[in-house]
Amino acid sequence: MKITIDHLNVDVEGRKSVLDAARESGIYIPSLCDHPRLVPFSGCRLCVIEVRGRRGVVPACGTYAEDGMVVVTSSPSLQKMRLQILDLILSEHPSACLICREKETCEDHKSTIRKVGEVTGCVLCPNNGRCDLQTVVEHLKPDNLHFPALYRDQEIHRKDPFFERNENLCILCGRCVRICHEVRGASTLAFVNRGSQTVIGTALGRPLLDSGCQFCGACVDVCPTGALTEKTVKYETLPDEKKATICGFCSQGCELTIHVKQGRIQASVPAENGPVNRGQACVRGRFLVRDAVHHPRRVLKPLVRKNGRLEETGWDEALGLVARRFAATAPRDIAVFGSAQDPCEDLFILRKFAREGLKTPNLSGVEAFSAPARLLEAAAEQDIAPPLNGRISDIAKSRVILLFGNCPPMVGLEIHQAVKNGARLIVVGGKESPSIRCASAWLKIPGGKEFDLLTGLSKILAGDGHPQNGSGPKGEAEFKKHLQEFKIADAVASSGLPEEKLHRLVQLLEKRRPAAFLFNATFAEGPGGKANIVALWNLALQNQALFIPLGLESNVRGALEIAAHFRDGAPSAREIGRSILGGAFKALYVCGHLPRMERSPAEFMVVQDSYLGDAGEFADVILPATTFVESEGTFVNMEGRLQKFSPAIAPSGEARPGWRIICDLAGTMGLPGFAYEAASAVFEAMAKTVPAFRGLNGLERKAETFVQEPAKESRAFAVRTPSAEEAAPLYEHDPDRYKGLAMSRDIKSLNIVRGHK
Amino acid sequence: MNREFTADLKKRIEEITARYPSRQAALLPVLHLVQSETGFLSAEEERAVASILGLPPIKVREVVTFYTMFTRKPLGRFHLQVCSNLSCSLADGERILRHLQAKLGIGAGETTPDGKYTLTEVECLGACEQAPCMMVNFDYHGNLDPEKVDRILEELK
Repeated sequence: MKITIDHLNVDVEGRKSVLDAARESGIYIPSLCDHPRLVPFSGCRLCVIEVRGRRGVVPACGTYAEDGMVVVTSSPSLQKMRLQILDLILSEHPSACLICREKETCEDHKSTIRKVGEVTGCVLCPNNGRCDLQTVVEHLKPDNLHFPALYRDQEIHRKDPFFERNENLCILCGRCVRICHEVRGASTLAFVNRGSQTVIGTALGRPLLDSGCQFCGACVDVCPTGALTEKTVKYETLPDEKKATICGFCSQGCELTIHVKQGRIQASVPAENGPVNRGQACVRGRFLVRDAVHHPRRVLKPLVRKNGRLEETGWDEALGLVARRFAATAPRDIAVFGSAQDPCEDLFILRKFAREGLKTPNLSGVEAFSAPARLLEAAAEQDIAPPLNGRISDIAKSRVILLFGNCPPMVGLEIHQAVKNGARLIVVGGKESPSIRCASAWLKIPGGKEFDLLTGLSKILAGDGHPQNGSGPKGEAEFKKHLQEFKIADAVASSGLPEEKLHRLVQLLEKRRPAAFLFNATFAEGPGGKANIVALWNLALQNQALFIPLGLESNVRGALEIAAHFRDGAPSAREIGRSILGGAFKALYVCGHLPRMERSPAEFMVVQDSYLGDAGEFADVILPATTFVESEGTFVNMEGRLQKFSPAIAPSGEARPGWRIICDLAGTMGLPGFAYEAASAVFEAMAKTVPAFRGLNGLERKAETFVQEPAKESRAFAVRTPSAEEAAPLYEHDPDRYKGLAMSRDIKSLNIVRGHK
Repeated sequence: MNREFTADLKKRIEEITARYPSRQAALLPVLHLVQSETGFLSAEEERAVASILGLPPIKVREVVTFYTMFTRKPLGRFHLQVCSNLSCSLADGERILRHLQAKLGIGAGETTPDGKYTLTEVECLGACEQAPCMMVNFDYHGNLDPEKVDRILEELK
């Protein structure tokens, strides 16, 4: 449709507010309460416009474009109205600096620093220079204010970690309240009291720690003023530059903007247009990147154990020692354990080095103990091929969701959207989490007992009907037979749910489509894990449900694709992982974290990590690697999305990218084929050999590039019953761990949040 | 500080919620009921109501603090609510409030030490035609002047 905004003809697609249409055409309408991710609120009234044929004025944020609409966004009477509104807003907001005639030159002459308890003007405000209110004032240019200024004199809430709440700067736009409720589903904040007494408050007036706050920082990011301020930046000036990166803390791959000041990270904020996160992040991405990257546990120089103690040394000495020891060890006595938090380039080089350089078959990694790995194993054994490239955004379109265990935060937001649109969420197992709050039911079935429940549901869903003649998916006849032999009583016994409840669950599945089934490593690990997966897969087939394994580490999917390429039969990566911990090898090359051990698992252990972590206790050599913020590389997120990132800051100390360390080591050992100049060259080599990456271009940053899936018939039923021989989980996935750094232990602020229940 | 309501109160709350399409919709009448039982709504009652209705506690707080008919402190025997909204202000309702403050020796939002009177400044009471006006407990008194206020107080004794 076409509308006219200030004599400009604008094409509008879909349902869009006049404010959004104007923004997209580069027309600025002052506004303080509207936000792209939020439902129009029409609270501040600054965006008033005139629409031809309508009486009076209307707010642009709450007025939707209609074909042929003629809109005026600025006129003397609108200007007068906006100035009056601004006058009222500023009567309760420190305003001296906003209308100061010398504000243009203030920055040059100001001699005070900002370390004050109370903010009484912009020059003392942490939000100076990034404030929406300042932008509005600059646009409307009031030359005088007509109401007596009122300082609210409310106590500043400083007790919570990460950010402060200063009611004296709040203009009550309600963005924080709405983002917490509409997008995050946490409902931690609300307007408390009424009229002139209104403030933004928490439940029972308690600190955020006691109010169910997840500390995602969404409220801080949408706050137009300095009322909500990140503590670490409140005494700092504006960043020198902003760099885009992909968060390396989990498998969702949120796009972050890193604020860099004098070569260090000042803050990390979610990118507004990030395809996965769309302006959102979690406590880790929003508040912990700076602390993690500049953490005192960072290893800044290579460390070599001398007389029982790790001592700093140069790269040549450390690599020379590793090269000599590896050369003196038989290939089958060396094992390599990869981290799924390293980019594809590092993982590719590590595996190429193990296979072609060290010539050892002993390759394992964290990814082998993940939910998608278990799915791939189960699928290979049953000859089925479930799709892996499920989109996170499709979850929001589901009408019923079965969640097994806990899910990452952005997945949680999609689930919350779905529930808001009327979907039902059933959580099975898992720990107390934000998702539980919007669940219709939380079935606390012990891990490993899900098989009976799922098969019971399948049996009820299938009814007594016989398979249709040849039209059903492969394996249907065998599956129906399996269901006929299954006793509902078993499902009742192991789930603890009465049969009637099972029928109600099936009704839910039948009535509400599409469905989404999500499961994490707890569901997939341990005895019965694979049987769980196959049972859920069958149910997903019966119900045409979205089927998503929830990997945890940032590059689990990439690691799996690369591992699959370098795999050559038995023993499996899981068995090798177990042998590594069991002390079966003489020399180890470990990237990142290994589960805590009582004694050293090998005679000679090399750890490539950014931190002095638990594995460092027994390491003979520690090679300092860069973090994701300091390196160039590619992650593949849980959707199979290829996510390229560039360094935002220079490496700390002498840390080197993982691929570079291995190439240097191979060079020291005199091995040919590792002379790569840059991460992009490694990607090119990988794109030539690893099937999933074939034909993909690592250099171009495209919004939507996905790794390839094998084109194979995936719709087939399978039968698998739980077997007891599978050992207990080896690797406990901790969402708060980044390589050797246990953030919930090593970073105090997160420790407070996690320790506080 | 988890407060348990009596079985009888719980039963009456359930009777109220049964009349509404969702439990959240019953929040106002349930709060009125609880207040009539306990006299005022402390943090404990807020928490208990939130838990019974399955709401985040913040949703109860925003409602309790919004409406002046909910009180979060114990009230005196006579609750004097003086309107300070537009019509009453134009009719000098401010004078009525000042008069009461001087006479009772308490400020708005306070209760006399003997627990007899509580004085509250409120937004519109919906009786603009008789501005300036106030409410004493559930009774309206309009077209006030200080003398009329004195007479009303006399009658309360």
